[in-house]
Amino acid sequence: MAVETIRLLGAGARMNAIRILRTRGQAIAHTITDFIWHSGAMLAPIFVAVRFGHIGPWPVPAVVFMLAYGTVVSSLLDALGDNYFFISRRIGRGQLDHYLVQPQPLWRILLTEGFNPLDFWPTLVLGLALTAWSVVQLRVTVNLGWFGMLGINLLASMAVQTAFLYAWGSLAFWAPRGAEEISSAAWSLIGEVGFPLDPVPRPLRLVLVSAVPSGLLSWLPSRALLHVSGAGIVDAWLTPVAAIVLGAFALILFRLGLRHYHSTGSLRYTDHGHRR
Amino acid sequence: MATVVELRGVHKSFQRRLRSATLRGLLRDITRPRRELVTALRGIDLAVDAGEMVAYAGPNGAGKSTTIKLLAGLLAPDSGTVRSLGVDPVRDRVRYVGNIGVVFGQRTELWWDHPVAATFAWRKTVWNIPDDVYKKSLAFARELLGLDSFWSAAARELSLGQRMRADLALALVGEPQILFLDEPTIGLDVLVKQEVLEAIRTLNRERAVTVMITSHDMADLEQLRARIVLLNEGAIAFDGSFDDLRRRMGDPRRLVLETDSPAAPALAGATHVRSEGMRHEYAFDAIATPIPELLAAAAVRAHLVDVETHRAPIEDMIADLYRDWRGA
Repeated sequence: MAVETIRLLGAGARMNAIRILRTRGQAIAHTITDFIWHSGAMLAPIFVAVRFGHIGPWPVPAVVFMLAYGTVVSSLLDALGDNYFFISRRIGRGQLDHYLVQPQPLWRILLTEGFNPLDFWPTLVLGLALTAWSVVQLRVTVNLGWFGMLGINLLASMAVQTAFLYAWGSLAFWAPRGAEEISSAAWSLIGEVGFPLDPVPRPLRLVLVSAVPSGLLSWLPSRALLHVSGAGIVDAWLTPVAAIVLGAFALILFRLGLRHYHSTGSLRYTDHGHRR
Repeated sequence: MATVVELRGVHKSFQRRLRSATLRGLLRDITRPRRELVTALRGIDLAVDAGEMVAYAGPNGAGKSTTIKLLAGLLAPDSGTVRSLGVDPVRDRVRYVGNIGVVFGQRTELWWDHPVAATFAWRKTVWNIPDDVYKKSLAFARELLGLDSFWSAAARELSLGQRMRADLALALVGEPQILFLDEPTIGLDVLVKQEVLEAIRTLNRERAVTVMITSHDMADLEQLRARIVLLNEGAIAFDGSFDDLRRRMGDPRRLVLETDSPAAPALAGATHVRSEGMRHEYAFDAIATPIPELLAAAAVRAHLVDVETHRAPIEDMIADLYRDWRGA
């Protein structure tokens, strides 16, 4: 199973390389614009932290760690293609048909088709570099256990984001036109929080780690990993547990939707956005 | 010969939501949505043997594409059974679709910004096609459909005809046992259409690939010399050869007589359609009124300078048939 998935990721990477490396100019422009786009999004909170010395209980390097963590999560997800980001579009526009005629399980196609590691390596490198810098600045005790928790939380944050987008995106099975762009809209809802949530009122904070789980994409895991505000090992497992719950919910919804799709088919088809 | 496709009592219907154009109607639709049931297929029984070529035709909304989607594993029937290559296309989708090729004329499987060659290499990996099978089938498909001239071009740079040839070739890579083609000639110019149809015939004849093809263009389908299955309102209205179809519908023809007079001679068994100068056109059924009989009668009634007979285009015959169905 894993070998087959890796083989397909390889096929995706080859397609990505063919697209990016068409011309030297295209490759350079692509890399630079990507880098500017992602690093630009990180600057505002860093400037605020630098200006005031901290954001709530978060010193500047901790803010940088949180933002870098979020960047690593989004760049890894983006490297896996845009199926998670545009899943409602795939469904709503009838493009799922293209996947269903491939002799592979649907989950593997969604995971691997459009894999574009060359697009996102600059952002990933930026995220990793800033993570390393902030860890050094904060004098975090880095050992195998800490690295393990970092890895688990990164995967959990990716799963939370994917599950949230798939859960909303599944609505397109029932409302192909109305919900066609709902997963990218759902991303706007959870993907734009770039500040530590500690100063936010508690009820709102609860919403931001449950119904609208933007807090699980970088704030809560970073808080646990850096032990900000006395956060401990239990906090480090909150995101993984949430990922399992949300993932199960999204899976049930998606499977119900897929059954509906097999029953009604796609009543509309547009190729716009498919492999373009 | 082994049966490879089998549909038994297949029913498929869809719900269509009715919408109003007035504000009052829209408000009512929100509180009390109105839906109508559209029956796409009603009790379809169909068996296709290995190596057979089946033209699946019918007016818009007859259920052609629905059938292809059922057989491609994209749709499940409401009732009845669909078996293809001995399996249920939806339940055994992963195993099944590796053995078929599907082409939808209005969609492309090609990667848009990539050279045509890249999509073929991608398919080899995803379809898990062994090297030797890939090389052999690719060489055959490239030659059959003439891909060499645009093999390295990006898909977005191709003409519609080139794109369709590439899509068809893509479906052939891996040597599928059955090919489902939904409107593969739609929008193509006459020359490309001929090339694509010829390729499909060659494929069926030389490789014994079972082909099921839908088209609105009856002349195209007749050219394939396939078994024709005509659908009407979700039910099979005719299943046989084109010759059988023509026989069943009579043999409508046109007779053009050139005489030395502007007056059209009256001919028993033929209807005068129009006259232009000394040329007079008649419609007749060649089964009810044999041609020699008609010509003998014409020779008695006028001085014949020239004579032409034309078989009615299949398109006209089918259009009449569809009109009859609609009237019925």
